[in-house]
Amino acid sequence: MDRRTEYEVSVTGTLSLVGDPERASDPGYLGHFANDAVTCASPYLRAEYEAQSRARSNARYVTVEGCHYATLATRAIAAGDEVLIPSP
Amino acid sequence: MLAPVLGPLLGVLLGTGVQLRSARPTCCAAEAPDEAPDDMTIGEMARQLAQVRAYYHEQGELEQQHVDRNLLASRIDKLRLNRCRVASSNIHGNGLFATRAIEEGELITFYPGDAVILWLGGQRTEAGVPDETGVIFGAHVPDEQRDVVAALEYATEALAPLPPASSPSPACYSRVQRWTGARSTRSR
Repeated sequence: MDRRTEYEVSVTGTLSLVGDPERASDPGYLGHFANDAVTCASPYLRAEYEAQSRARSNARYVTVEGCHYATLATRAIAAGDEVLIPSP
Repeated sequence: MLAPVLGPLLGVLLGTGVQLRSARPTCCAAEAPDEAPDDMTIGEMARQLAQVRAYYHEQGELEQQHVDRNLLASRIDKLRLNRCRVASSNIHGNGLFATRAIEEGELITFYPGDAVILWLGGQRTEAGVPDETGVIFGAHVPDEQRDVVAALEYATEALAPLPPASSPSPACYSRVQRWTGARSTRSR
């Protein structure tokens, strides 16, 4: 993955997925709602933002057979906790 | 017998509308009508997707890259996944939350490909989206919601110029402003 925006994730350099934010009811396909752990305060602090984002994340994206994109827990997540993805 | 996931996928990819889903016996449904199954693992999903890819490879009906793209653009019905939900986030807007304890390495959910964007002419630039860019909508997206302009508009907005360092509340990422013209604007 080389880049990610709020409802789009890049799978390869030439292909990206866009999730419809209106579709929020199927727990099998909610990956597009995962937030970054931190908010980027300034583009000039991007390195710090990315380091904090990685440190506080608890999930990541992985490809499944090249034909589905999964959100996988990178550490234990308690019930009620927010699923957080690191910055790309 | 086809695996529970395999049947619906074959129907989607072949355009036959064939739906071969495992059905819960009536007696069990009556005993636990609200309990959605939640035992899908990433390993099981990988095996079932591999079976679908292998099936099409053997049949030769579609090129492998087209099979992969179609699967990326598919939402499979009734996956046995029920461990997260969308709710208001303290970070910003809505977020994704665990509805039960999730172990390290465990599958949480999938990223939908309601639209798959093919950057055939290269990635977007500040000048916009290349003419060669293509959009594939999932079979689950109704015709009236297949708004190419909206999907690419989102991609273009993602390249909005970064604000100056002195800006009081700069955002690194832009938002989807709308999905189709028929729907109301909704931010996350």
